[in-house]
Amino acid sequence: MLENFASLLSGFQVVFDPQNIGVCMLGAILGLIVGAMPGLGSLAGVALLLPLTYKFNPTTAIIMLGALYYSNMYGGAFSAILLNIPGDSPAITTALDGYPMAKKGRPGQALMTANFASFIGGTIGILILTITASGLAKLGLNFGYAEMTLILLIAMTSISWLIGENPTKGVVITMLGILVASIGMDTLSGVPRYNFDNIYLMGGITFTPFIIGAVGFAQVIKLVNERKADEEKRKSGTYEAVKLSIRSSMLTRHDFKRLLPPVLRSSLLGTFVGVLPGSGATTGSMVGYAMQKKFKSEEPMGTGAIEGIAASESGNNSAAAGAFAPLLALGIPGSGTGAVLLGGLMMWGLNPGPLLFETNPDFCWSLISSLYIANIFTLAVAVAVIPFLIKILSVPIKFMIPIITCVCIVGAYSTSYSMYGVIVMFVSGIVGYILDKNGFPTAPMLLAFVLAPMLEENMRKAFIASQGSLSVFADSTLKIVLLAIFLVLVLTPSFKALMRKIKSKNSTSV
Amino acid sequence: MEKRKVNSRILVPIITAIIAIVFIVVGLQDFGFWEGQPTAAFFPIIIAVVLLATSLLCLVQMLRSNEDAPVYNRNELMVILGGGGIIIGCYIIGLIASCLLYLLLWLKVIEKATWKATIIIEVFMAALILGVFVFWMQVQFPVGLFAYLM
Amino acid sequence: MKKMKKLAALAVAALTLTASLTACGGGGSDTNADGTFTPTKTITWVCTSGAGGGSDIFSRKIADIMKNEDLVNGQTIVISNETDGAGEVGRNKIATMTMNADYNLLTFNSGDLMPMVTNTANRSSNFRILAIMAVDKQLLFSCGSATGKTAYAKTGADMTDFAAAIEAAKNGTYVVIGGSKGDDIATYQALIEELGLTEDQMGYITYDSTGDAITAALGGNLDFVISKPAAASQYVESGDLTPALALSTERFGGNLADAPTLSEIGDYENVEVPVWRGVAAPKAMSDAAVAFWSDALKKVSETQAWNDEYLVPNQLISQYMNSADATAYVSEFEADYMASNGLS
Repeated sequence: MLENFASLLSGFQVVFDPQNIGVCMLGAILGLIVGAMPGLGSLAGVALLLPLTYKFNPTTAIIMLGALYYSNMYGGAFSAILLNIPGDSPAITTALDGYPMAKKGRPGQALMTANFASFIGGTIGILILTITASGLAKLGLNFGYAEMTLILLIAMTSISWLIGENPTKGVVITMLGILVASIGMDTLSGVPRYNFDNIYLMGGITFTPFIIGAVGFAQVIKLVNERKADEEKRKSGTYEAVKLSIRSSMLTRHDFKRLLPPVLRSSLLGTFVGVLPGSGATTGSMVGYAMQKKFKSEEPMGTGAIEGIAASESGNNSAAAGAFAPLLALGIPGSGTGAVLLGGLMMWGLNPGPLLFETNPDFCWSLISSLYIANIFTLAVAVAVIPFLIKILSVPIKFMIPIITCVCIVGAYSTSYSMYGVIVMFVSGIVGYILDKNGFPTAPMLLAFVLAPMLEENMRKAFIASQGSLSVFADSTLKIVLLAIFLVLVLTPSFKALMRKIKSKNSTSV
Repeated sequence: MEKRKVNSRILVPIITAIIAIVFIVVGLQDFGFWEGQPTAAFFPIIIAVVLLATSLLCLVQMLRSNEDAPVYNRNELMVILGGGGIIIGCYIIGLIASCLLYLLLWLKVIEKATWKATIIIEVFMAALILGVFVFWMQVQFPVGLFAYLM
Repeated sequence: MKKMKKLAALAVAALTLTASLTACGGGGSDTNADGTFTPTKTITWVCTSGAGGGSDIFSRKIADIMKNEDLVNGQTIVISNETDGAGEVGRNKIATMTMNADYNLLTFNSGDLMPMVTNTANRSSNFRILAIMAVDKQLLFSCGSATGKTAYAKTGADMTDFAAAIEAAKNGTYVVIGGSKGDDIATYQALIEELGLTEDQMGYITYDSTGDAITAALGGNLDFVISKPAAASQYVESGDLTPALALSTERFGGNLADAPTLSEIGDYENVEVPVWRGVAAPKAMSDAAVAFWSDALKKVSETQAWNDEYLVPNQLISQYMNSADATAYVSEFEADYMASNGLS
């Protein structure tokens, strides 16, 4: 472990070169922009910057791309909080509390919470990465399909907390989300399913346009009703200009106290989730958010609670850091972005794989130390831009409507470079709007859409490997523990409800 | 007994129930359910059965309740039409042009915004789309029919 | 009056916008007076896999070399990753394209052809096949160091001995192989057919990419994994993966030389499903343009950069075929594949 820190120090020496600091900063700024823009994610950013970096030496290049990837995780929260449009999928859960908090008149604090939660979460993730380096990645590998299935089932229980007052509607919408996600190529058998002979549907409903539509565009359609009220408020002079300074966005001591416990919990869990192959930052933020539901929050979750933003954002960033462990130690990309980075490593003449730490220690440790630096830079930049971001909120709603509509369309196109993405966005926007009108919450649909395909894949792989035997889900201690956690999570609410019924019966009969 | 209102709220559960039935039927037809191991339709069919059951339950709830039908107003329809207009425009005059044209029409005709505000927004959006998406990210937006004709 | 002004302004704005966008595009052929073709516009190269994958690297490398070696008259080549409909949309678009046909290329590999003929009515005859650039072969690898989670690994068998695994499968122990989509599945099917085993004796788990399959093997979730040399070589180097069987008519070289071919371990024919990487174009491409591109690709295949920066790092076998040879080769491959999968 001490050895690791010594290597880290030498890594810092490499990073503290004016050129490296420069590209690190540039990467951080670009990453924030890309992350905040709906439709552009770290994948697009890294893929498109990759050719630019061929001229650099590999270390400088990875510092820039690492910083970009990393700061991108901050950016996703911005549009989620201010406009209720998640910039990327991990920000879905951030929007659940971030947007209500901004509406309550504390947009600055909401952004600040997101920034600090991201920072602390990221720092914890990177620290764990430094200490354990390759060991952690090997641990993650030992998770088989049955274990992953159980973890995903646990993550899925988070949906039940978002369902709202009508459970039936909640279940309907969750199932709908899962069915929509099942359209397209079935990875395990390699055949298209439910594509109804449509060549576009063969590839499935693309995810980012789907969220941009179901959350963003649906939001714009609703926003139109607030236009009149907004205008009158402005005319009558009762409109309070949102305060624009960083100082007024600062969190109070009390806010910090609320923020810290969820961040710590979520970061530890998030790092671990990030290490698991194929789970990634989205699962990190969702599991973090779900867990926070189990703890006390000062305000109810989903109504603008600091705890909610904190849990989601720190889960996201720590998972992003954790995902570097399998990438560096084993050459296994945890996500699409990881895969592009891996492609980059090969282009620079490095051989990513289990030997990277041994053959190119400079490179690995500079990357890890650059993550520390990138994290600090991004925090500084992210805090500095808050006043400018909040200006977005002072734009009259009547102007926001056409602007956001255009951003949704341009963003949806950019995710897949095709009009199909735009049409998916448009249709899911209308569907989201109609569902909302009828009192169906859309958040469960989005979570189900993300988690269900992973769940199905792992479950079916478990069945194939065990030739269809159910015992594969309970034949080791770890699996039994996971199964028990899952059952407890599922059964406690019903058990509690049952107890209440019995109690009330007793009290009436006595 | 008070007369129950049957209104447009029952549409959503009816539609989801139909979707569920389609997924069950198509799934069974194309893949079956379990053939020594789960088929491609195994998981969706289970989900569709749950969706069917809850949709029916939901329908019963709606029929019994007295809630009013949701109100869909004209303004909301305008936003949807605007979005649809841009999409059609993309195929004819290209994506960037139809976005900017839509902004112009929406701001001037629907919002009756001042020329100053309109121009600022047009320039801002053009800079955003061209600067970030086109030049930096090198997204090639569709240019529409006219580009080929001329 | 005011209304008129507004309308006029709108009309002007709309006109300038459309006019500004018409600079690019336009049809027409650029065939020279002597019947040869020289590109005079930007070339679009469609790659139906995502950025960063094997096909993407292949396309970008060729585009790079074409530019550096000045093979395309100084024009730009834009790589467009079109993954809609699992790539079928992009392939269909190229096949049916009539506008600008001379300026559109498509990366076309055996791994693209297989799902295309299985899932759609599109066939290789709907394209002009310009060239085949390289072929690749596969091996079976196993991970001996992992804590095995499979039924076969739990029997304590020697994981590097594929002959033992065949016997075990015949005697009722389930053996599980993993690999990527497309060509890996075809190889697996050819393998179990040759061995006379069923999918219930020796099963297959499909992964999104070879990388994912290797991850699963390292975690002990698979008994064997099918991979091309490039993706596995680092793990062989580090000792995490052991080559167990060469899916080829002869042994590989280098650190893969230990893997026997199928005929060496029993009374079987060798199994080899060639994995080729090629370039296709719209059916409507002019003959002059086909000749031009086929020739440009030949020049690429002869460069030092192609050898040093693509073939060697990825352990591919260079095998350039011109348009006529490639077309014949691809049609035969397609016919074989369709026959063995009962497609018509």
